[in-house]
Amino acid sequence: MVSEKVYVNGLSVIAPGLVEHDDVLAVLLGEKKWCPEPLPKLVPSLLPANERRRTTPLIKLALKTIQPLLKLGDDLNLTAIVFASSDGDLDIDDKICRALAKEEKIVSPTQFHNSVHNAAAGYWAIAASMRAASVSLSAGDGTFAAGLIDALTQSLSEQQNVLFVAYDVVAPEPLNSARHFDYPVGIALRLGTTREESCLGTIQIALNDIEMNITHCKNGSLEPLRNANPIGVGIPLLEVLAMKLSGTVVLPYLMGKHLQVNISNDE
Amino acid sequence: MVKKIKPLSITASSLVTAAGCGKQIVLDAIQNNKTALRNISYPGLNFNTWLGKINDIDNVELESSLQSYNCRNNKLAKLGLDTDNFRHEINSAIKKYDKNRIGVFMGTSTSGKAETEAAYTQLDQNNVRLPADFDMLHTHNIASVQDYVQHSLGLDGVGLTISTACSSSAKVFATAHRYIDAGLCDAAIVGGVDSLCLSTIYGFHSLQLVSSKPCCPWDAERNGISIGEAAGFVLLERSDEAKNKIQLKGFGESSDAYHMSTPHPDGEGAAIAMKAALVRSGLSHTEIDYINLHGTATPSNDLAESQALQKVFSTDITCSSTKGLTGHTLGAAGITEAIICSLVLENNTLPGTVNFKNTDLSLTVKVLETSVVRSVNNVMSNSFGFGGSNCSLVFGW
Repeated sequence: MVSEKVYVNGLSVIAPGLVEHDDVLAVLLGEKKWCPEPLPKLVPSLLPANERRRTTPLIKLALKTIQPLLKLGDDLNLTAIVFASSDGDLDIDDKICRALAKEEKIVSPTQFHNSVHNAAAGYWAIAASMRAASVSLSAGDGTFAAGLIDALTQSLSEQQNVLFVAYDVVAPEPLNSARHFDYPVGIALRLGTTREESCLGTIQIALNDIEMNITHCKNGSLEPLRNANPIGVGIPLLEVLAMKLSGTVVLPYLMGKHLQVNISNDE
Repeated sequence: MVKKIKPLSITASSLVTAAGCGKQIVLDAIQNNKTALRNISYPGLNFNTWLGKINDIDNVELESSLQSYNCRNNKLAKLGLDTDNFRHEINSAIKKYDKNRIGVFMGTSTSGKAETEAAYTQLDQNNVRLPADFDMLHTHNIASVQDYVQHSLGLDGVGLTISTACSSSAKVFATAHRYIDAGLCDAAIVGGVDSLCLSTIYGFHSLQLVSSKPCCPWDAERNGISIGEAAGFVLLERSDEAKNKIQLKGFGESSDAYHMSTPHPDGEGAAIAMKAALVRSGLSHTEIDYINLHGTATPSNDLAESQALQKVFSTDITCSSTKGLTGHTLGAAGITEAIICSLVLENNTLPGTVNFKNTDLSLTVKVLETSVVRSVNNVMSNSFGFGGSNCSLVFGW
């Protein structure tokens, strides 16, 4: 079964070495090798400074990744948003678990409210004054595909624009040894049922039972980023979209299954 | 654009709360206005509070092939699957639809985080290494509960876990509807499982939101929540496949855009969710016979919800909070109260607000104090969470 199509009207990615727009485009178009320079401090300017101070690197990554896809004139009461993160805020988990391992067990109230999986969604709604629904989800190692499917269903069922952002960071030790990721990655797409000037193509999805090979990056230097965490697997999709090509990208999903994404630029 | 939806039928369900295993036990507690909250201890807890703890979890053993998922939350999930004949009903559904056409959409707030809390108490002397048998992906990860449920039931269709604090397992109904609508599955298991852990108990305590007495929603002297744990599951099928069943008629979701841990004081976000749920159900506000409130018993939550209700329903609406019975089961609150709504519809019994004693004049919407028998056709359930995540559901015949 193949889904109806939705338009991809914008993409955004933030990862080490992929921060400035020109660099991102050159690497995704295969004109430049990927160099994993450490991420600079991310400042999601949409969020008021007093709120921003209370946020964590994970929340900043999510907001900074999605921010460029917001357009002037967007009705934020009618633009749904999907937040997908496999592991959530591992920095906060580490801090809270350390506090709870002590005799006095003093948990910081700010850390606690930042520990909810929908913390980024809450800050986003405040920053963008957005009353529309948001979903915050995980599907473990299938999180990127699960988030993409969810965003697509939301766009189709309500015939509306949907922002989709997927993000995971590297845990501090000792958690990093229990769940090791090489790099932080944030990926965002702007989806809708109407074509905008910024359109990069349409996508349709299909769930397949047959054995398929997961799509690798065209730019081979990006392979470590694709393998960095459950979000990096979306990089090959960004490459096809950035090149405005047609093609098929296979993403890892649940229960050993794969999600096939058909990208079309034939219109 | 929000418009009327095609309803889905509830064809099976199960519920485990502090009252015990099974829907009948909860119905008995509702009819007798009983609380399941107890003033008990919990490992690591060093202050006095009341909890909705499920003792039966300790006796649960996960399947031998699924031992890597072993944690309090997944044991509670198994208890839920093995209650109210639910597993048997799913086996029948698999014969009808096939195992890859039944989606699994779970809600939880903390998943198996209790395992990580315990692992940190066993850090080695240099504070660098967790115990070798700690399996973070299969316990701590938010999605471990849905992964476990899919494996335990032998399903391999679509799935995900929603974690939006206390609205998590209400929002799964909306998600399931969209997936069935898009043809990604033919039926859906929606559920919520949230178990006690120190992160939530001490976290809410740090915000001064945990009551030292049994929580008393809507009461003038309410001073916080009592934390509970619960597991609930519902099988949803297209209504033309299953007639004369209780239906999911509408859902509404919104964001407060106000504050991370305090609701909008006028309940504006909550009102948007309730209105959207009504539009999708095709019902007018006068056709809702009963509302199961979010009603957590914190001063600000109940006030905001009362304001929101007044905007949508005026003050003439029948409602109650069942959190004095079950405790606030957080990521499982949505499913717990959805199933309570189905019990209301099946038995024409409206729950009272257990532990309510003193009227708060600032709450313009009044609650039922004790359970009453009354014929009902349509009911609403409210769930609102941290980060301003709101969800309202409409169920009816």
